[in-house]
Formats: sequence, C-alpha cells, structure tokens
Amino acid sequence: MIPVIFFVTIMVFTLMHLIPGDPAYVMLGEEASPEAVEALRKELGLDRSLPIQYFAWMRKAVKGDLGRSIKNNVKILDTILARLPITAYLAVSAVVFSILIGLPAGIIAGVRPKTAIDVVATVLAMAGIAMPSFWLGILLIFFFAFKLEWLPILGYVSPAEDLWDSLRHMVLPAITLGASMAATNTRFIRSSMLDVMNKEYITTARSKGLKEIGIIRGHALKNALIPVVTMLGLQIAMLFGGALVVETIFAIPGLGRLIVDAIFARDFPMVQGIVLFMAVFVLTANFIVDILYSFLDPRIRLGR
Amino acid sequence: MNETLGIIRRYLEQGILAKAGLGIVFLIILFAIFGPMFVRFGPTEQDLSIVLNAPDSRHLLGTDELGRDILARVAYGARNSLFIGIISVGMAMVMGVTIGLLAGYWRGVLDRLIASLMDAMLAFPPLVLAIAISAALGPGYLSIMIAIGIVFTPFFGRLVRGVVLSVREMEYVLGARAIGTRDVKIILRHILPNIAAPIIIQVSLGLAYAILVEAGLSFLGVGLTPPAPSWGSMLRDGYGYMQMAPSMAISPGVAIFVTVLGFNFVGDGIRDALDPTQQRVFKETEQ
Repeated sequence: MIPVIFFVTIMVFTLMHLIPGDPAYVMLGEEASPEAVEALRKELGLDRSLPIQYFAWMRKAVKGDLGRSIKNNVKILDTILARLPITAYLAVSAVVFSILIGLPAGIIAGVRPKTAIDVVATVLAMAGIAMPSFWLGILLIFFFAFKLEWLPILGYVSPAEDLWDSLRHMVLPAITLGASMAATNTRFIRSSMLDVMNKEYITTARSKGLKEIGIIRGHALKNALIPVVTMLGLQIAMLFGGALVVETIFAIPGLGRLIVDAIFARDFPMVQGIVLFMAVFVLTANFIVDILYSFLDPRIRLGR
Repeated sequence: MNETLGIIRRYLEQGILAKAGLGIVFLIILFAIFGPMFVRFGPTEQDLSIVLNAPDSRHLLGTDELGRDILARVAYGARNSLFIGIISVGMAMVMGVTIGLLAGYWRGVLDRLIASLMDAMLAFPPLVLAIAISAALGPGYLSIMIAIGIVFTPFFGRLVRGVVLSVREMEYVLGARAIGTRDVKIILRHILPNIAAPIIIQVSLGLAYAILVEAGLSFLGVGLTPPAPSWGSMLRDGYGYMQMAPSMAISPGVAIFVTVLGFNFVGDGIRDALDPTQQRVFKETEQ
C-alpha cells in the first residue's frame, strides 16, 4: 500500500503543477506588480525546484497540513473535514437505498431465473446502469418536486437541525446516487445467487427436504453475499465520483460540490487537497474491505 | 477465421438484448455519421424569435433558450460523444495493453512498479480524476480525450496483465521460449491473440462508460466549451428550463441513455459469446 500511496501523491502533485498560470497571480489578481508576485512566489516556495516543492508539500501533508485555500485562506483539511460528514450522509443514504432495492431484487431473480420477475429485474438493472445520474436527478426533481410537489426541490438540511426535513431533502439525492449502485448490486447478487444455487450443498439441502426459504436463508444467501462485500469496497470510489454530480444538481454542500467549486474558482491547492484526500480514503477503505473479506471467507485466509 | 464466424454465430444466437444492442449501436453510428447531413439547421444557428419552442414540424424536438434546433444539437452531439468515446477508449487500450504486456510478460521490478501505479490510478474516483486532468489541461476536445484515456488506462492494463500472467505459463509459450523464439515474436504470435477477447469486451463496455464520463464532464461544465454541442452540456442547460421546455433536457438524456444501453448490451453479448462457461450456467438453470 505504501508504494501505491507514493504514486498517488506523485500523480496529484504533478497534475496540479501542469496547470498553466501562476498561483501567485491567481491570489493577487492579474494587476499585481511583478515584485509583489515574486515576493509571494518566494513565500509559497514556488521559486524552488519541483522535487523540493514535492517533499515540502509531502512533509506537511503527512502531518495533516494540506495547506490553505488560495481563494479564502481557510485551512484545506479543516474545510474537507467539515464537508465530509455531509457527503458521508449522502453516501450512506445511497448505499441503504441500493441495498433495499438490490438485495431482494437480486435474490428473487437469482433464485427464479428465466421467470418474468427475473426478466423485469434484469431489464431494470440494465436501465439503471445506463441511466446517467445527472439525468435521473433532473427527472426526479421534475416529477417529484415540481409536478407532484411531494418532496423539496433542492438544498440540504442537517439531520441535527430537523431530522424529518433532513430525510425528506435526502430522498431524491440518495435515489439519484444509489440507482446505478442498486442496479449493479441486483446484477451481482443475481449471478452470485445463481452460482450458489447450483452448488451440491444446495442439492443436498433440498434432498433432505428443507423448505426453499430455509435453504435460501440458511445456505445460499450467506455464501452469495461474500463477493458483494468486495463490490461495496469498489463502490466507495464510485460514490465520491457520483457525489460530484449529485451534490451539484441538488445544491448539497458536500465534498463533491467543494471540488467542483474549487475547480471553477481555480483554487488548485484546494483541488489538490480534496483529490489526495479522496484517493487515500478509497485506498484505506479498500484495505479494510480486504481484511473484512478474509474474515468472512476463511478460504481466502487459509489460501494465503 | 472460422473461430470469428463461430463467435459471431454464438452472438446472434443469443437473446433479444444482444440483438437489440447491436441494432441500437448500428443506428447510433448511422445517426452520428449521417444525422448532421439531414438536419435542416446548424448546431449553433440561433434564432431568438423562436426560443424555447415546443416540438413542431419544423423543429422536431423543439428549440432551446437561444432558439437553436435541439434535434440538430443532438445529432452533432452524437458525433462528438462517439468521436470522443472512440478516441479516448482507443488511447486507453493502446496504453493499457502496452503496460499490461510489459508488466505481465517481464514481471519483476517493472511489474511491481506498474502494478502499484495502476492501483494508484484506480484509487481515484474516475470522474474525479477525469475532472482534475481536464482542469489541468484546459478545456477542449483533446484534453477531454486525454483525460478519459488516462482514466481508463488502468482498466485495460490490469486486465491484460492478469491474462498475460496466466498465458505466459502455457505450454505453447514455454515451448516457444525453449526453442529460442524472440520475446517480441512470442508476444505478437502467441500472447496477443489470446488477450484479444477480453480486450474486445472491455472496449465495448469502456465505450459506454466513456460516453457517460464525457457527458458528466460536460454537465459539470469542464467538458467541451460552449457553444459546441455536447449531450452533457445540453442537459445542464436544459435543467434550468425543465418547466418551460422539457424537450431540452429530455432529448439529450434519452440519447445518452439509449447509446450507453446499446453499448452495454453489445458488451454483455460479446462476453457471453466468448465465454462458454457462462452459457453453461444458463443452460443448467434452464433444466
């Protein structure tokens, strides 16, 4: 994992130094005098060589100092940590939605393949994967907020402020972000169930005269869900990506919105900080999932 | 040759979805190539006397907030989407296959370095990496294609590396090496043909995803610069006029949805045609 993180930092650093334009000019404005720009460049360390700048940046980053925004001088890590809970709330809501839909749909489709219900689930899942989240979000707003007026259109309300209102605001964003995940989960659980239902221990359970529901609950589901845990790990990266779009559509002040705003404000230290934070977060989450996975499936642990 | 025919036959023997996918992709390609020739208006031609008009016989999908013909913009947008998708996935394929081959075939330190680099790239959420790269490179066609190309490279690289690692231990490769065949020849003659199948599947699914990412970038405003027609930026503009002119957001949305669905169906179809074990699972469950 260490070399991977090293490459991540190199990539983020290089990327942000490819950007044309001098950060000192961005901070001082185009009319700044050359002397003032030069002085600021010196203060920021921009006059030093790239490797030295990289190590200086890394030394601070390891200590949790990602620098300051060049737009409003706030500490970057503090801003990220302030926005993270909002994105986490959105992400957890989306995951809950995707499991509520994907789990039953996948199980039924996998246990009863080639029936009408399987075909419906499969077609809906294919549609869910092809549906761009930004389009789904717009359609949901149009129907549920504008036409039917069941739910609020945009915005974010903290659950600490008003839990009910907060949940009402979170319904459409969670569905928008969770739809493609629900679709992927359905397909994945379906094929996993299909696979498990053909195993000999299921035939044995059937020949013992166990009821179908008992077989599914006691034997099939446990084994079928193991690979799904890996999926959840992979989906963390997708959630961050999706948050960019969903938070923009629904005006939610999370990390996704923060990075989009930072890009338009040309606040590149902020972009750099968020991108680095997200990548390290994803790596750590995947690492934890790997460990979980080996606990869930002893075959992997013993295989190593 | 016979093998190719066999794969095509197996593809066509599959269910309705695989055939529908092929039909959709074929129609979309025709639409992208010939559509712009048949529409009566240019994609940036404005007519402020007919802004936000509903569909009628002159403007089949209506007009947008600047009085531009939505059908024309969807047609030119198809060209942009497919062009960007094909070039960026092509770039990702060339880069990914090359580094995957290098890593899988020679292994050692090089492999470990490349594997770590690919893992590092996969740690970035695809849309986040794409938006960061295109922000760094500035707006325009080329920077979007490079951004999507780089984002997709590790998907190909990882896939190819995995296949090469198993193929290089096959007896015919060991045999070729034993009689002193040069590495380049072994790679071209014995290894590349074996990794073709998974690459084709990845290309088809990758195209679907590349079109989604391009639309996402344009939707967020870091894709093609206006007034260039892009499905993603059309959707973003249409979002503001959802009440007055729903066609503005619905038309490009349908275009993206149908195109992505088509490429996904084709990708799944090719995978099933190439992978007989998957078929067997289906056959068994049918009994």
